Amino acid sequence: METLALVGKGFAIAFSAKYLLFCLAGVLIGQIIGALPGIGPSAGISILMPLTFGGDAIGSTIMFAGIYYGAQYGGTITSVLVRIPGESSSVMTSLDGYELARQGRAGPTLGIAAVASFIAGTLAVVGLMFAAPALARLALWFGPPEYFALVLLGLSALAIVGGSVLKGLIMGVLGLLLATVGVDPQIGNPRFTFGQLWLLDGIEFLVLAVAFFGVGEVLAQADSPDSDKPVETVAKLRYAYPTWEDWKQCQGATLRGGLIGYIIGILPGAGATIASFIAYAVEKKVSRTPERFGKGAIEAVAAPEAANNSAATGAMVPMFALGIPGSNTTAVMLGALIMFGLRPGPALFDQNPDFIWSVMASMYVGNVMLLIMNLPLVGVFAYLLRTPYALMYPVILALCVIGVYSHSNSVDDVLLMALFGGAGYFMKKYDYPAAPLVLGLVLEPLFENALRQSMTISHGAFAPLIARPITFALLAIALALMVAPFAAWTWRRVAAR
Amino acid sequence: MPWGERVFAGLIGAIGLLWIYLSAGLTYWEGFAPGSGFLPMWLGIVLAALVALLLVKEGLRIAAASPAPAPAPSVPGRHRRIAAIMLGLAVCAAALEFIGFVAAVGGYLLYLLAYVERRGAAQTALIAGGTTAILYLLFHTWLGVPLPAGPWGF
Repeated sequence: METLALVGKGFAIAFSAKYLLFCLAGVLIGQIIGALPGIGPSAGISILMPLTFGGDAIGSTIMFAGIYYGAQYGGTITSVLVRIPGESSSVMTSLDGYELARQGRAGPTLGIAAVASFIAGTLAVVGLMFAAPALARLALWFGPPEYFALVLLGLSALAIVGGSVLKGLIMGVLGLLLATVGVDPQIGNPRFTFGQLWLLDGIEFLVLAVAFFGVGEVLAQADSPDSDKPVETVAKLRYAYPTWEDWKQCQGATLRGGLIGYIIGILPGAGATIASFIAYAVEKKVSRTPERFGKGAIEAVAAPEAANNSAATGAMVPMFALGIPGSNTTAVMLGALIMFGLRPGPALFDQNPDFIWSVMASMYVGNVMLLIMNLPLVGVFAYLLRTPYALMYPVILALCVIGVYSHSNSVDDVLLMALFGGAGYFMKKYDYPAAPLVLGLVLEPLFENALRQSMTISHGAFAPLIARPITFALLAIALALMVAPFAAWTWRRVAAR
Repeated sequence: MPWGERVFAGLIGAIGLLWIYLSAGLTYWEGFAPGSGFLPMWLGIVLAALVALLLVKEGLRIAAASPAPAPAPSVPGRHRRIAAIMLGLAVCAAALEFIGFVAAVGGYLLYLLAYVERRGAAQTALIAGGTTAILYLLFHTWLGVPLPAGPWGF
């Protein structure tokens, strides 16, 4: 009953004119970001974050969440119309979606994608409302040793998502290491400032986020041979709406995809991309006509679309309840929450119920908004796609400069952003994931304080910390995540001999 | 592993070594609690060790004649484009305090569109001028962000 009362209050807040506008802005920007190749929701949120400083934490978070799930919808449009997935989570959609568009069925495909996303997204919000408080209650048992282990788990989980676990781990440790620049949080003496006063505040999360996800992405895109090619929309919106037969074919796929997406989204470090891949594979497996897949099966669009949308919502569960992001974008959002003075984790549910429930309620509202505006905006997005990247990236870079400057009024931070932007380009080029680095930077204060408090409690010994059941379990999972790929690699080498 | 990546990984490893060296000058242990240098020292060690492991692993992979997938090849001339974008960004950042936001960012956009991308004068002027004006109005006038001003007051 208490939860229902909180949900009701959340809806009352979310339905106020101000927050409806934030939500509308978020889903609209998210759709545009999702549709445009070369700029993802993490970059969009990073670039827009400075606009929200000192502003309304609820409104800003509603907008960021809107950008996240709006981008999942936006990515679908380009996947179907031009076979360019604006987001990696839309890659699977493009396989059958584009084939259907070539057959003149772009309208029904986009319609099915929108409805499947809406249904799965809405069900995932219901799941979020029930799973997050339960997880938060569990997390109330957490003390400093458990938090230390939790951060390790979060970093190792995010590290395994990319191509190379080793590179992911290197980036996570580098993030932790860069966060030690500045004043020691416990003793107060300066560390690694190289005599520079401006480094006493440490390296700001925003500088790194904008550098890697904004500048680094722009440079990587500028290096791409396809960046200047004009985009041709071959698809025709001949039939605008799905038929009854389409709906019947997609019912099971939507529910299965939604469930898969939600479960995978909850797992820290997984996310919408993996969810869409698995949902597609499962749908092909259960289909009576798997040979249609890849040639224009409409349920092959519904399943990954439902999965990526519910995964985006599912990823909010560990972020809100445990303070562990489930994806790149929630890693950036986590940093934003911390900058608003909120501490994601179990205490958030007790201390800021209005915040948490209004954001969750706004996700329902946002999903309805997306459904209503998705089809009418298809033509607008198709037009936007014709904007050459050469005209788009200067504007993105200008936004990066003003975004970082307005955060701290410091030219040094803008220079630091340019430096890290260059590093971001090489990270992208050599496949070093940025998310673990940013996450390490965000979580280091929690990590270091928890470690030092834990060791003070245990009088400098490690053994009592590991003996605690939750800590042991979390560390064991983290270790398994890190060791498994190396064990597999060694096994393959031995087997090859 | 391409040569450039080896240099990149080596630089990250060097940061780890630098952290080990610098944290040696900080307090490692205080009574029965870790001091300021404890975590940075271990992070430096772990970072350097992970980079060494990566380089050894790639070395073994080359020895086993199964080269790692190379990154997508760059198109000739793109390196110059990237260098031009980066150089312009650094100059824009450095010039912000001296010539103000409007001149620095407006100039950077003009440089990118006219010089790097070879766009027409009208398109360049419209995008550079429009973007700078919109950002200035949004951040300075509407949000009250004190953007750096040049000798001419904006």
